[in-house]
Amino acid sequence: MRITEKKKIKIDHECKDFPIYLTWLNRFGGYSYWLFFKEHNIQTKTKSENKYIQNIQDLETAISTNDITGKEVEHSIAIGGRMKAEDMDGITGLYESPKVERLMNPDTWETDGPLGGPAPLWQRVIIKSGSLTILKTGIDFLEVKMILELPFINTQKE
Amino acid sequence: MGLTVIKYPQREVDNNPLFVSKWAAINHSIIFEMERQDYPVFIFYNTLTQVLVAVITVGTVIDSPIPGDEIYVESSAASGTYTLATYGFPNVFIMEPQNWTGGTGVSGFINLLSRKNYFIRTNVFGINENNQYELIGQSRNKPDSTGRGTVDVSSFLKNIIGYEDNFQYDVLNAKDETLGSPYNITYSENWQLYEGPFSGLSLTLLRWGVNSAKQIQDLYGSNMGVYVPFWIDAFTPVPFAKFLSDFESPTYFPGFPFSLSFIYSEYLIGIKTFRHQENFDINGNSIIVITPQKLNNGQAQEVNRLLIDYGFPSTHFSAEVWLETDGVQDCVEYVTPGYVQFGYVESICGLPIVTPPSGGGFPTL
Repeated sequence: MRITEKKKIKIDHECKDFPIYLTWLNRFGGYSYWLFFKEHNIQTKTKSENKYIQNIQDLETAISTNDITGKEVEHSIAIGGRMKAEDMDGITGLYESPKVERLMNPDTWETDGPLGGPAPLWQRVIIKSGSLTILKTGIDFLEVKMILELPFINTQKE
Repeated sequence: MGLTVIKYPQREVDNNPLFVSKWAAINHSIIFEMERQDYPVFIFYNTLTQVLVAVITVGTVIDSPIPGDEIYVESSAASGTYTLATYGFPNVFIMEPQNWTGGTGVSGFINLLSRKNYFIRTNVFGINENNQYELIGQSRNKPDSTGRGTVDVSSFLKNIIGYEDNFQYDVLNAKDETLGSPYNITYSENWQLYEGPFSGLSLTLLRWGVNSAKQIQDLYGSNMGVYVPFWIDAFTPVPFAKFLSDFESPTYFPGFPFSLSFIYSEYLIGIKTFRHQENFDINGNSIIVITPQKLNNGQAQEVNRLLIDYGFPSTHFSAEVWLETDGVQDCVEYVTPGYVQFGYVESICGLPIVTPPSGGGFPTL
């Protein structure tokens, strides 16, 4: 006897360049997935920490008049693409999810396990807050753009 | 009579008492409504003398009532707080003169408001990896003037839900403790200089929190009844449970990890459940029906991850996945902790027994 709905799963056979595969905790209490590809911009954003003026004793050997104690570094990836309107329910879930992870070993996850089995490696990312159009009447495709905030990059600090 | 739970955080799906969902979203209140009834009584009232008499019908008075004590009296028709005039040992409370509209010769209950600082103490238990109860929190709540109080356990459950996805995509189905958790409660009544015993703790019947967030006007409110699969017998039709997905039709990208999440409910304990899958071509014509795969029943009573059959040739453009059960017994081998032999397993054909909490002190049901 059937006890659940019949869940339709679409199969996307298209080859994907530069894949960014995300999973997220959806609001129903399960995990969802989506593969973004091609349209990525990876950025680094830096911020100087504690700029100070150096006390110069010897002008002849001094290498600078000022310096910083370190830098804050944050990488982000702008992702997006044209989404079918019928997929926007899930993409909305991605945009609204507080817990999103990115697959870090997309090419090798199926064999990275200790016995050659699957071992996906996920890294937590944050979808930058903002607004996302989730419905336009009479339109079958929607342009989606999101920014993934990646974990901070550690650098040397004085 | 003491303290009883009068309303549990559960809902009847399709208004059918056979389909009770005890699964609730932990990001909302999960409330047990409790009622204090110190003593059951028969209530007699003389309209001429306005004397109100309450006679205890069951139990022994453990209090020491004295004239002047405030007594809350309630029947199905009326209620009020009255001053005790005379206590007739061992079980008669006489209050005069009083205005009572609830009739005479009726049953009801009384609460002695002389129990100072009355409060409900609730222990909330999660279940650890060894299938043993583990105390995760204690709540103290004061009931209102009628003896009714509420206990919200959601904040305790949120503390034991993790957010690290550890599913390895190497088994057909596996429970995911980041997505939900079983729990149970015991409770006791307490007041000044009195600490009551805790209620019984069932070793088989549990409740569950799911790491989900429902919306206003959702069916069954914060209860997850829409997503709970049921099984009664081979003849009783059941509502079809939904998978925990925000896509109406999720997309599988070949070569990437993918799973469906679902509630593997207590209704499916001890019986065979199968994943069914049928693949379709681009025109929606059926190409192949995949041989049904039997789920690991030892993963039940949790939110589960479910793998689909990944073998999709390029001519397969969609699939339908669902769960079925034939109701045939499926005994499960649980790894049982505490035995001297490494790897000892115990075959259980039904609800697995949860080990009582360490430290004991809780009567079990």
